Amino acid sequence: MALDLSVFNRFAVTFKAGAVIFCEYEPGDSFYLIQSGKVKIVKIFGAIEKTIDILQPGEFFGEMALLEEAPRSATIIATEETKLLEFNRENFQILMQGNPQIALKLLKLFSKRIYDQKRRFQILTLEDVHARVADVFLMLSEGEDIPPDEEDQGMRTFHTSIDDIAHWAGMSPEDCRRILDHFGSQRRVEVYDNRIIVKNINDFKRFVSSRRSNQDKKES
Amino acid sequence: MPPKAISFKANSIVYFKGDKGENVYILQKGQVSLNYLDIQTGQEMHDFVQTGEFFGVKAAFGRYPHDETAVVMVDSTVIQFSVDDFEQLLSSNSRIILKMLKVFSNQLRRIHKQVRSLMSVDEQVDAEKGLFSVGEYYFNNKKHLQAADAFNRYLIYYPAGRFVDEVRRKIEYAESRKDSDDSLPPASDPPPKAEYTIEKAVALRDSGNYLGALKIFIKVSQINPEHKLFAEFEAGICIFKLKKGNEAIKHFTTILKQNPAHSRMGEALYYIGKSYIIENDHEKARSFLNKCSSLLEDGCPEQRDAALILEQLGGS
Repeated sequence: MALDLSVFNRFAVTFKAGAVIFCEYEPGDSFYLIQSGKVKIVKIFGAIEKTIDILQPGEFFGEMALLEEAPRSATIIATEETKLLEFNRENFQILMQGNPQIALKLLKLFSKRIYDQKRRFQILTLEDVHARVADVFLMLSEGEDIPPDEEDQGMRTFHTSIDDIAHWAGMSPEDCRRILDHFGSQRRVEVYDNRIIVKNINDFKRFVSSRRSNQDKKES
Repeated sequence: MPPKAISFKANSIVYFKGDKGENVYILQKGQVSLNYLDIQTGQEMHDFVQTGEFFGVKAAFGRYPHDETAVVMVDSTVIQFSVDDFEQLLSSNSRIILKMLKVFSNQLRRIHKQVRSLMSVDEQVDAEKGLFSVGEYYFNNKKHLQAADAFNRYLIYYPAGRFVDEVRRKIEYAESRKDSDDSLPPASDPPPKAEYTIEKAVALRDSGNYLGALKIFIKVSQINPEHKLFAEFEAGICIFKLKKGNEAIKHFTTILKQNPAHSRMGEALYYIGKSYIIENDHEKARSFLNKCSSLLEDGCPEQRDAALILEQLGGS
Protein backbone atom coordinates (compact mmCIF):
# COMPACT_ATOMS: atom_id res chain seq x y z
CA MET A 1 0.00 0.00 0.00
CA ALA A 2 1.60 3.25 -1.10
CA LEU A 3 0.88 5.18 2.02
CA ASP A 4 3.31 7.32 3.87
CA LEU A 5 2.77 6.33 7.44
CA SER A 6 6.21 7.28 8.68
CA VAL A 7 4.72 9.89 11.00
CA PHE A 8 3.09 7.01 12.82
CA ASN A 9 6.32 5.15 13.39
CA ARG A 10 6.21 5.80 17.09
CA PHE A 11 3.17 3.53 17.22
CA ALA A 12 5.09 0.66 15.65
CA VAL A 13 5.20 -2.62 17.55
CA THR A 14 6.90 -5.80 16.43
CA PHE A 15 5.77 -9.33 17.21
CA LYS A 16 7.79 -12.49 16.77
CA ALA A 17 6.45 -15.45 14.84
CA GLY A 18 3.97 -17.30 16.99
CA ALA A 19 3.34 -14.42 19.37
CA VAL A 20 -0.18 -13.64 20.44
CA ILE A 21 -1.13 -10.07 19.54
CA PHE A 22 -4.35 -10.20 21.46
CA CYS A 23 -6.57 -12.88 22.91
CA GLU A 24 -10.25 -13.52 22.59
CA TYR A 25 -12.05 -12.22 25.72
CA GLU A 26 -9.29 -9.76 26.45
CA PRO A 27 -10.48 -6.19 26.91
CA GLY A 28 -8.83 -3.92 24.41
CA ASP A 29 -9.17 -0.54 22.81
CA SER A 30 -6.54 -0.56 20.13
CA PHE A 31 -6.70 -1.03 16.43
CA TYR A 32 -3.86 -2.44 14.33
CA LEU A 33 -2.58 -1.84 10.85
CA ILE A 34 -0.20 -4.45 9.42
CA GLN A 35 2.99 -2.94 8.02
CA SER A 36 4.91 -6.13 7.32
CA GLY A 37 4.45 -9.79 8.07
CA LYS A 38 1.26 -11.78 8.45
CA VAL A 39 -1.22 -12.57 11.18
CA LYS A 40 -3.91 -15.19 11.52
CA ILE A 41 -7.27 -14.70 13.17
CA VAL A 42 -8.29 -17.76 15.15
CA LYS A 43 -11.14 -18.80 17.35
CA ILE A 44 -11.14 -21.71 19.72
CA PHE A 45 -14.23 -23.86 19.69
CA GLY A 46 -13.96 -26.40 22.48
CA ALA A 47 -10.93 -28.49 21.61
CA ILE A 48 -10.29 -27.15 18.12
CA GLU A 49 -8.58 -24.03 16.92
CA LYS A 50 -10.11 -22.66 13.77
CA THR A 51 -8.36 -20.17 11.51
CA ILE A 52 -10.89 -17.63 10.38
CA ASP A 53 -8.67 -15.49 8.21
CA ILE A 54 -5.10 -14.58 7.37
CA LEU A 55 -4.28 -10.90 7.05
CA GLN A 56 -1.50 -9.28 5.03
CA PRO A 57 0.30 -5.93 5.01
CA GLY A 58 -2.10 -3.02 4.46
CA GLU A 59 -4.91 -4.85 6.22
CA PHE A 60 -6.11 -4.09 9.71
CA PHE A 61 -7.82 -5.69 12.64
CA GLY A 62 -9.13 -4.85 16.09
CA GLU A 63 -11.44 -2.15 14.73
CA MET A 64 -14.42 -3.49 16.68
CA ALA A 65 -12.76 -2.39 19.89
CA LEU A 66 -12.98 1.19 18.69
CA LEU A 67 -16.73 0.93 18.42
CA GLU A 68 -17.69 -0.70 21.64
CA GLU A 69 -16.14 -1.71 24.88
CA ALA A 70 -16.64 -5.38 24.29
CA PRO A 71 -13.98 -8.02 24.83
CA ARG A 72 -12.04 -9.11 21.75
CA SER A 73 -14.02 -11.60 19.70
CA ALA A 74 -11.07 -13.60 18.34
CA THR A 75 -7.41 -14.29 18.98
CA ILE A 76 -4.76 -12.82 16.67
CA ILE A 77 -1.42 -14.59 16.27
CA ALA A 78 1.58 -13.45 14.24
CA THR A 79 2.51 -16.23 11.80
CA GLU A 80 5.85 -14.64 11.00
CA GLU A 81 7.73 -11.67 12.39
CA THR A 82 5.20 -8.89 12.04
CA LYS A 83 5.37 -5.15 12.34
CA LEU A 84 2.16 -3.38 13.26
CA LEU A 85 1.03 0.15 13.94
CA GLU A 86 -1.05 0.27 17.07
CA PHE A 87 -3.65 3.00 17.48
CA ASN A 88 -5.94 3.89 20.32
CA ARG A 89 -9.22 5.76 19.94
CA GLU A 90 -7.69 9.22 19.77
CA ASN A 91 -4.85 8.34 17.41
CA PHE A 92 -7.31 6.45 15.31
CA GLN A 93 -9.24 9.65 14.60
CA ILE A 94 -6.04 11.34 13.51
CA LEU A 95 -5.09 8.39 11.34
CA MET A 96 -8.48 8.38 9.62
CA GLN A 97 -8.53 12.12 9.05
CA GLY A 98 -5.12 12.12 7.45
CA ASN A 99 -5.54 8.91 5.46
CA PRO A 100 -8.76 8.76 3.49
CA GLN A 101 -7.62 5.55 1.77
CA ILE A 102 -7.51 3.71 5.06
CA ALA A 103 -10.81 5.21 6.16
CA LEU A 104 -12.37 4.17 2.86
CA LYS A 105 -11.10 0.64 3.30
CA LEU A 106 -12.57 0.54 6.77
CA LEU A 107 -15.86 1.83 5.39
CA LYS A 108 -15.93 -1.05 2.92
CA LEU A 109 -15.07 -3.53 5.61
CA PHE A 110 -17.96 -2.23 7.69
CA SER A 111 -20.33 -2.58 4.72
CA LYS A 112 -19.32 -6.18 4.39
CA ARG A 113 -19.60 -6.87 8.10
CA ILE A 114 -23.06 -5.32 8.25
CA TYR A 115 -24.15 -7.46 5.33
CA ASP A 116 -22.67 -10.63 6.85
CA GLN A 117 -24.23 -9.99 10.21
CA LYS A 118 -27.63 -9.36 8.67
CA ARG A 119 -27.36 -12.60 6.77
CA ARG A 120 -26.44 -14.35 9.96
CA PHE A 121 -29.35 -12.78 11.74
CA GLN A 122 -31.66 -14.11 9.04
CA ILE A 123 -30.47 -17.64 9.75
CA LEU A 124 -30.97 -17.28 13.47
CA THR A 125 -34.54 -16.04 13.11
CA LEU A 126 -35.61 -19.32 11.46
CA GLU A 127 -37.61 -21.31 13.97
CA ASP A 128 -37.24 -24.62 12.18
CA VAL A 129 -33.81 -25.95 13.18
CA HIS A 130 -33.48 -28.04 10.01
CA ALA A 131 -34.07 -24.95 7.89
CA ARG A 132 -31.49 -23.12 9.96
CA VAL A 133 -28.79 -25.66 9.17
CA ALA A 134 -29.78 -25.68 5.50
CA ASP A 135 -29.63 -21.88 5.43
CA VAL A 136 -26.08 -21.95 6.81
CA PHE A 137 -25.07 -23.93 3.72
CA LEU A 138 -26.85 -21.40 1.52
CA MET A 139 -24.97 -18.58 3.21
CA LEU A 140 -21.64 -20.37 2.79
CA SER A 141 -22.32 -21.04 -0.87
CA GLU A 142 -23.31 -17.42 -1.52
CA GLY A 143 -19.80 -16.29 -0.75
CA GLU A 144 -18.16 -18.72 -3.17
CA ASP A 145 -17.28 -18.60 -6.82
CA ILE A 146 -18.77 -21.75 -8.25
CA PRO A 147 -17.40 -23.28 -11.46
CA PRO A 148 -20.18 -23.34 -14.10
CA ASP A 149 -20.49 -27.14 -14.31
CA GLU A 150 -21.01 -27.44 -10.55
CA GLU A 151 -23.37 -24.49 -10.66
CA ASP A 152 -25.75 -26.43 -12.91
CA GLN A 153 -25.66 -29.64 -10.93
CA GLY A 154 -26.29 -27.89 -7.68
CA MET A 155 -23.82 -30.11 -5.82
CA ARG A 156 -21.61 -28.23 -3.36
CA THR A 157 -18.65 -29.31 -1.27
CA PHE A 158 -18.01 -27.43 1.96
CA HIS A 159 -14.72 -27.74 3.80
CA THR A 160 -16.37 -26.89 7.02
CA SER A 161 -16.68 -28.75 10.30
CA ILE A 162 -19.90 -29.60 12.08
CA ASP A 163 -18.80 -27.33 14.91
CA ASP A 164 -18.64 -24.42 12.49
CA ILE A 165 -22.06 -25.12 11.06
CA ALA A 166 -23.40 -25.38 14.60
CA HIS A 167 -21.79 -22.08 15.46
CA TRP A 168 -23.42 -20.26 12.54
CA ALA A 169 -26.75 -21.92 13.18
CA GLY A 170 -26.65 -20.96 16.86
CA MET A 171 -27.03 -24.48 18.19
CA SER A 172 -24.95 -27.06 19.98
CA PRO A 173 -22.69 -29.33 17.90
CA GLU A 174 -24.70 -32.34 19.09
CA ASP A 175 -27.99 -30.89 17.82
CA CYS A 176 -26.30 -29.94 14.59
CA ARG A 177 -24.93 -33.45 14.10
CA ARG A 178 -28.38 -34.92 14.68
CA ILE A 179 -29.84 -32.66 12.00
CA LEU A 180 -27.06 -33.50 9.56
CA ASP A 181 -27.65 -37.22 10.23
CA HIS A 182 -31.29 -36.66 9.41
CA PHE A 183 -30.38 -34.90 6.15
CA GLY A 184 -27.96 -37.75 5.51
CA SER A 185 -30.69 -40.35 5.87
CA GLN A 186 -32.70 -38.39 3.30
CA ARG A 187 -29.62 -38.46 1.02
CA ARG A 188 -29.51 -34.69 0.95
CA VAL A 189 -26.03 -34.44 2.45
CA GLU A 190 -22.94 -36.59 2.94
CA VAL A 191 -20.77 -35.89 5.95
CA TYR A 192 -17.05 -36.74 5.89
CA ASP A 193 -14.26 -36.00 8.32
CA ASN A 194 -12.92 -33.06 6.38
CA ARG A 195 -15.87 -31.99 4.26
CA ILE A 196 -19.63 -31.93 3.93
CA ILE A 197 -21.30 -32.43 0.56
CA VAL A 198 -24.69 -30.94 -0.14
CA LYS A 199 -26.20 -32.98 -2.98
CA ASN A 200 -28.44 -30.26 -4.36
CA ILE A 201 -28.18 -26.72 -3.06
CA ASN A 202 -31.30 -25.71 -4.98
CA ASP A 203 -33.29 -28.25 -2.99
CA PHE A 204 -32.06 -26.52 0.17
CA LYS A 205 -32.99 -23.15 -1.30
CA ARG A 206 -36.58 -24.26 -1.85
CA PHE A 207 -36.71 -25.88 1.56
CA VAL A 208 -35.50 -22.76 3.39
CA SER A 209 -37.70 -20.35 1.52
CA SER A 210 -40.82 -22.45 2.07
CA ARG A 211 -40.09 -22.66 5.81
CA ARG A 212 -39.44 -18.96 5.89
CA SER A 213 -42.68 -18.05 4.17
CA ASN A 214 -44.68 -20.44 6.38
CA GLN A 215 -43.16 -18.72 9.35
CA ASP A 216 -44.00 -15.27 7.99
CA LYS A 217 -47.60 -16.31 7.37
CA LYS A 218 -47.94 -17.60 10.90
CA GLU A 219 -46.65 -14.36 12.31
CA SER A 220 -48.79 -12.01 10.31
CA MET B 1 -19.60 6.24 -16.77
CA PRO B 2 -19.30 9.75 -15.28
CA PRO B 3 -21.76 10.81 -12.58
CA LYS B 4 -25.06 11.86 -14.08
CA ALA B 5 -28.21 13.53 -12.83
CA ILE B 6 -31.38 11.49 -13.29
CA SER B 7 -34.90 12.84 -12.88
CA PHE B 8 -37.50 10.58 -11.31
CA LYS B 9 -41.25 11.05 -11.30
CA ALA B 10 -43.11 10.64 -8.03
CA ASN B 11 -43.76 6.97 -7.13
CA SER B 12 -40.99 5.59 -9.29
CA ILE B 13 -38.29 3.30 -7.96
CA VAL B 14 -34.54 4.01 -7.97
CA TYR B 15 -33.78 0.40 -7.09
CA PHE B 16 -35.64 -2.56 -5.67
CA LYS B 17 -34.71 -4.57 -2.64
CA GLY B 18 -32.78 -7.57 -3.96
CA ASP B 19 -31.30 -5.69 -6.94
CA LYS B 20 -27.56 -6.01 -7.04
CA GLY B 21 -25.90 -2.80 -5.90
CA GLU B 22 -23.84 -1.23 -8.66
CA ASN B 23 -24.24 2.50 -8.18
CA VAL B 24 -24.26 5.01 -5.39
CA TYR B 25 -26.80 7.84 -5.35
CA ILE B 26 -27.06 11.33 -3.91
CA LEU B 27 -30.42 12.97 -3.52
CA GLN B 28 -30.07 16.39 -5.11
CA LYS B 29 -33.67 17.56 -5.03
CA GLY B 30 -36.98 16.06 -3.94
CA GLN B 31 -37.74 13.21 -1.58
CA VAL B 32 -36.74 9.56 -1.51
CA SER B 33 -37.80 6.94 1.01
CA LEU B 34 -35.84 3.78 1.79
CA ASN B 35 -38.31 1.01 2.61
CA TYR B 36 -37.22 -2.15 4.37
CA LEU B 37 -38.39 -4.69 6.89
CA ASP B 38 -36.91 -4.33 10.33
CA ILE B 39 -34.96 -7.54 10.84
CA GLN B 40 -36.04 -7.90 14.43
CA THR B 41 -39.73 -7.04 14.34
CA GLY B 42 -40.45 -7.66 10.66
CA GLN B 43 -42.20 -4.29 10.55
CA GLU B 44 -42.03 -2.18 7.43
CA MET B 45 -39.75 0.80 8.00
CA HIS B 46 -39.39 4.02 6.01
CA ASP B 47 -36.26 6.13 6.24
CA PHE B 48 -36.25 9.40 4.37
CA VAL B 49 -33.08 10.42 2.58
CA GLN B 50 -32.11 14.03 3.24
CA THR B 51 -31.10 16.20 0.32
CA GLY B 52 -27.36 15.92 -0.15
CA GLU B 53 -27.27 12.47 1.43
CA PHE B 54 -25.88 9.32 -0.15
CA PHE B 55 -27.84 6.12 -0.43
CA GLY B 56 -27.22 2.63 -1.78
CA VAL B 57 -23.63 2.79 -0.54
CA LYS B 58 -23.29 -0.46 1.39
CA ALA B 59 -24.68 -2.69 -1.32
CA ALA B 60 -22.61 -0.96 -3.99
CA PHE B 61 -19.39 -1.34 -2.02
CA GLY B 62 -19.86 -5.05 -1.61
CA ARG B 63 -21.81 -5.58 -4.84
CA TYR B 64 -24.47 -7.15 -2.67
CA PRO B 65 -28.20 -7.05 -3.19
CA HIS B 66 -29.81 -3.91 -1.75
CA ASP B 67 -31.72 -4.63 1.40
CA GLU B 68 -34.14 -1.78 0.90
CA THR B 69 -36.28 -0.42 -1.90
CA ALA B 70 -35.63 3.24 -2.78
CA VAL B 71 -38.96 4.86 -3.63
CA VAL B 72 -39.25 8.39 -5.03
CA MET B 73 -41.97 10.28 -3.13
CA VAL B 74 -42.21 13.50 -5.16
CA ASP B 75 -40.60 14.45 -8.48
CA SER B 76 -36.89 14.29 -7.65
CA THR B 77 -33.40 14.55 -9.04
CA VAL B 78 -30.79 12.00 -8.07
CA ILE B 79 -27.12 11.93 -9.02
CA GLN B 80 -25.86 8.50 -9.91
CA PHE B 81 -22.20 7.54 -9.34
CA SER B 82 -20.32 4.42 -10.29
CA VAL B 83 -18.50 2.88 -7.33
CA ASP B 84 -15.15 3.98 -8.76
CA ASP B 85 -16.23 7.58 -9.19
CA PHE B 86 -17.74 7.56 -5.77
CA GLU B 87 -14.50 6.30 -4.26
CA GLN B 88 -12.60 8.99 -6.06
CA LEU B 89 -14.95 11.61 -4.72
CA LEU B 90 -14.54 10.31 -1.20
CA SER B 91 -10.81 9.93 -1.28
CA SER B 92 -10.40 13.69 -1.39
CA ASN B 93 -12.87 14.25 1.40
CA SER B 94 -12.12 12.51 4.65
CA ARG B 95 -14.83 14.48 6.44
CA ILE B 96 -17.56 12.67 4.51
CA ILE B 97 -15.88 9.31 5.04
CA LEU B 98 -15.67 9.88 8.76
CA LYS B 99 -19.31 10.84 8.85
CA MET B 100 -20.29 7.72 6.97
CA LEU B 101 -17.98 5.65 9.13
CA LYS B 102 -19.92 6.83 12.12
CA VAL B 103 -23.24 5.86 10.56
CA PHE B 104 -21.94 2.47 9.51
CA SER B 105 -20.33 1.74 12.83
CA ASN B 106 -23.61 2.50 14.56
CA GLN B 107 -25.44 0.13 12.28
CA LEU B 108 -22.80 -2.51 12.81
CA ARG B 109 -22.95 -2.11 16.54
CA ARG B 110 -26.72 -2.51 16.49
CA ILE B 111 -26.81 -5.59 14.32
CA HIS B 112 -24.00 -7.13 16.35
CA LYS B 113 -26.04 -6.76 19.50
CA GLN B 114 -29.09 -8.25 17.82
CA VAL B 115 -27.16 -11.26 16.59
CA ARG B 116 -25.65 -11.80 19.99
CA SER B 117 -29.01 -11.70 21.67
CA LEU B 118 -30.18 -14.51 19.40
CA MET B 119 -27.20 -16.76 19.98
CA SER B 120 -28.44 -19.22 22.53
CA VAL B 121 -25.63 -21.75 22.76
CA ASP B 122 -22.94 -19.14 22.39
CA GLU B 123 -24.04 -17.77 25.74
CA GLN B 124 -21.03 -15.77 26.78
CA VAL B 125 -18.84 -17.40 29.33
CA ASP B 126 -17.55 -14.63 31.49
CA ALA B 127 -14.53 -12.90 30.00
CA GLU B 128 -12.20 -13.96 32.80
CA LYS B 129 -13.00 -17.62 32.31
CA GLY B 130 -12.93 -17.20 28.54
CA LEU B 131 -9.45 -15.72 28.57
CA PHE B 132 -8.30 -18.48 30.89
CA SER B 133 -9.75 -21.11 28.55
CA VAL B 134 -7.83 -19.69 25.58
CA GLY B 135 -4.63 -20.18 27.57
CA GLU B 136 -5.78 -23.66 28.53
CA TYR B 137 -6.37 -24.63 24.93
CA TYR B 138 -2.82 -23.71 23.94
CA PHE B 139 -1.37 -25.19 27.09
CA ASN B 140 -3.12 -28.52 26.55
CA ASN B 141 -1.98 -28.58 22.95
CA LYS B 142 1.62 -27.90 23.97
CA LYS B 143 1.72 -24.59 22.15
CA HIS B 144 3.73 -23.10 24.94
CA LEU B 145 4.49 -19.74 23.43
CA GLN B 146 0.82 -18.96 22.86
CA ALA B 147 -0.11 -20.43 26.22
CA ALA B 148 2.37 -18.21 28.02
CA ASP B 149 1.18 -15.17 26.07
CA ALA B 150 -2.46 -15.83 26.84
CA PHE B 151 -1.84 -16.58 30.51
CA ASN B 152 0.33 -13.48 30.89
CA ARG B 153 -2.57 -11.43 29.60
CA TYR B 154 -4.77 -13.08 32.14
CA LEU B 155 -2.45 -11.81 34.85
CA ILE B 156 -2.53 -8.30 33.41
CA TYR B 157 -6.29 -8.07 33.56
CA TYR B 158 -7.07 -10.28 36.51
CA PRO B 159 -4.10 -9.85 38.87
CA ALA B 160 -6.26 -11.12 41.70
CA GLY B 161 -8.43 -13.46 39.62
CA ARG B 162 -9.85 -16.88 40.32
CA PHE B 163 -7.26 -18.82 38.36
CA VAL B 164 -4.16 -16.84 39.31
CA ASP B 165 -2.30 -19.65 41.07
CA GLU B 166 -2.88 -22.13 38.30
CA VAL B 167 -2.00 -19.53 35.69
CA ARG B 168 1.28 -18.65 37.36
CA ARG B 169 2.24 -22.32 37.59
CA LYS B 170 1.40 -22.90 33.96
CA ILE B 171 3.26 -19.81 32.80
CA GLU B 172 6.36 -21.05 34.52
CA TYR B 173 6.03 -24.44 32.87
CA ALA B 174 5.18 -22.99 29.47
CA GLU B 175 8.07 -20.52 29.57
CA SER B 176 10.50 -23.31 30.38
CA ARG B 177 9.24 -25.25 27.36
CA LYS B 178 8.85 -22.32 25.02
CA ASP B 179 12.16 -22.81 23.24
CA SER B 180 11.37 -26.40 22.33
CA ASP B 181 7.99 -25.32 21.09
CA ASP B 182 6.83 -27.22 18.03
CA SER B 183 4.33 -24.55 17.14
CA LEU B 184 7.16 -22.20 16.27
CA PRO B 185 8.57 -22.02 12.77
CA PRO B 186 12.11 -23.38 13.00
CA ALA B 187 13.78 -20.29 11.53
CA SER B 188 13.00 -17.93 14.38
CA ASP B 189 15.66 -17.14 16.93
CA PRO B 190 15.04 -17.81 20.57
CA PRO B 191 13.66 -14.65 22.12
CA PRO B 192 16.47 -12.62 23.65
CA LYS B 193 15.92 -12.10 27.33
CA ALA B 194 17.06 -8.52 26.98
CA GLU B 195 13.77 -7.74 25.35
CA TYR B 196 12.10 -7.39 28.70
CA THR B 197 13.97 -4.61 30.40
CA ILE B 198 12.85 -1.80 32.60
CA GLU B 199 14.54 0.64 30.23
CA LYS B 200 12.50 -0.55 27.29
CA ALA B 201 9.28 -0.36 29.25
CA VAL B 202 10.07 3.15 30.41
CA ALA B 203 10.91 4.22 26.86
CA LEU B 204 7.60 2.83 25.60
CA ARG B 205 5.76 4.52 28.41
CA ASP B 206 7.40 7.84 27.62
CA SER B 207 6.45 7.53 23.98
CA GLY B 208 2.83 7.13 24.99
CA ASN B 209 2.59 3.41 24.13
CA TYR B 210 1.06 2.40 27.43
CA LEU B 211 -0.17 -0.98 26.31
CA GLY B 212 3.29 -1.95 25.06
CA ALA B 213 4.85 -0.61 28.25
CA LEU B 214 2.29 -2.44 30.38
CA LYS B 215 3.15 -5.77 28.79
CA ILE B 216 6.85 -5.34 29.48
CA PHE B 217 6.40 -4.01 33.01
CA ILE B 218 4.32 -7.08 33.85
CA LYS B 219 6.92 -9.31 32.26
CA VAL B 220 9.76 -7.67 34.18
CA SER B 221 7.87 -7.91 37.44
CA GLN B 222 7.60 -11.65 36.85
CA ILE B 223 11.13 -12.46 35.75
CA ASN B 224 13.19 -9.92 37.64
CA PRO B 225 12.67 -9.88 41.42
CA GLU B 226 15.01 -6.92 41.73
CA HIS B 227 12.67 -4.68 39.73
CA LYS B 228 9.44 -6.34 40.81
CA LEU B 229 8.14 -3.53 43.03
CA PHE B 230 8.91 -0.78 40.59
CA ALA B 231 7.62 -2.64 37.51
CA GLU B 232 4.43 -3.66 39.25
CA PHE B 233 3.76 -0.10 40.27
CA GLU B 234 4.47 1.33 36.83
CA ALA B 235 2.22 -1.31 35.31
CA GLY B 236 -0.57 0.10 37.46
CA ILE B 237 0.08 3.58 36.12
CA CYS B 238 -0.07 2.22 32.56
CA ILE B 239 -3.40 0.55 33.30
CA PHE B 240 -4.64 3.89 34.59
CA LYS B 241 -3.31 5.69 31.51
CA LEU B 242 -5.21 3.18 29.38
CA LYS B 243 -8.30 4.49 31.16
CA LYS B 244 -9.16 1.14 32.66
CA GLY B 245 -10.34 2.63 35.92
CA ASN B 246 -11.63 -0.47 37.61
CA GLU B 247 -8.62 -2.56 36.64
CA ALA B 248 -6.26 0.12 37.89
CA ILE B 249 -8.09 0.31 41.20
CA LYS B 250 -7.86 -3.47 41.57
CA HIS B 251 -4.20 -3.49 40.60
CA PHE B 252 -3.14 -0.81 43.09
CA THR B 253 -5.31 -2.28 45.81
CA THR B 254 -3.55 -5.64 45.36
CA ILE B 255 -0.15 -3.95 45.52
CA LEU B 256 -1.04 -2.13 48.72
CA LYS B 257 -2.44 -5.28 50.25
CA GLN B 258 0.78 -7.14 49.58
CA ASN B 259 2.97 -4.26 50.74
CA PRO B 260 1.15 -2.40 53.47
CA ALA B 261 4.18 -0.14 53.92
CA HIS B 262 4.78 0.57 50.24
CA SER B 263 7.17 3.45 49.69
CA ARG B 264 4.89 4.89 47.05
CA MET B 265 1.70 4.64 49.06
CA GLY B 266 0.72 8.26 48.44
CA GLU B 267 1.12 7.91 44.72
CA ALA B 268 -0.89 4.67 44.70
CA LEU B 269 -3.75 6.39 46.53
CA TYR B 270 -3.51 9.26 44.06
CA TYR B 271 -3.95 6.88 41.10
CA ILE B 272 -6.77 5.02 42.81
CA GLY B 273 -8.49 8.35 43.36
CA LYS B 274 -8.01 9.37 39.72
CA SER B 275 -9.28 5.95 38.60
CA TYR B 276 -12.47 6.52 40.55
CA ILE B 277 -12.91 9.68 38.51
CA ILE B 278 -12.74 7.57 35.34
CA GLU B 279 -15.42 5.38 36.87
CA ASN B 280 -17.43 8.47 37.79
CA ASP B 281 -17.45 7.66 41.48
CA HIS B 282 -16.65 11.15 42.73
CA GLU B 283 -17.23 10.40 46.36
CA LYS B 284 -14.62 7.63 46.50
CA ALA B 285 -12.32 9.75 44.32
CA ARG B 286 -12.53 12.57 46.83
CA SER B 287 -11.78 10.33 49.78
CA PHE B 288 -8.70 8.76 48.14
CA LEU B 289 -7.37 12.08 46.85
CA ASN B 290 -7.78 13.57 50.30
CA LYS B 291 -5.82 10.71 51.81
CA CYS B 292 -3.04 10.87 49.27
CA SER B 293 -2.40 14.57 49.74
CA SER B 294 -1.10 14.10 53.24
CA LEU B 295 1.25 11.30 52.16
CA LEU B 296 2.67 12.93 49.06
CA GLU B 297 5.63 15.22 49.15
CA ASP B 298 4.64 18.85 49.40
CA GLY B 299 4.41 20.54 46.03
CA CYS B 300 5.04 17.43 43.89
CA PRO B 301 2.98 17.33 40.67
CA GLU B 302 0.67 14.59 41.98
CA GLN B 303 -0.12 16.55 45.10
CA ARG B 304 -0.82 19.71 43.16
CA ASP B 305 -3.01 17.81 40.74
CA ALA B 306 -4.89 16.15 43.57
CA ALA B 307 -5.48 19.51 45.23
CA LEU B 308 -6.74 20.93 41.95
CA ILE B 309 -9.16 18.06 41.39
CA LEU B 310 -10.40 18.26 44.96
CA GLU B 311 -11.09 21.93 44.44
CA GLN B 312 -13.10 21.15 41.29
CA LEU B 313 -14.99 18.34 43.01
CA GLY B 314 -15.28 20.44 46.12
CA GLY B 315 -18.64 22.10 46.34
CA SER B 316 -20.66 19.42 44.63
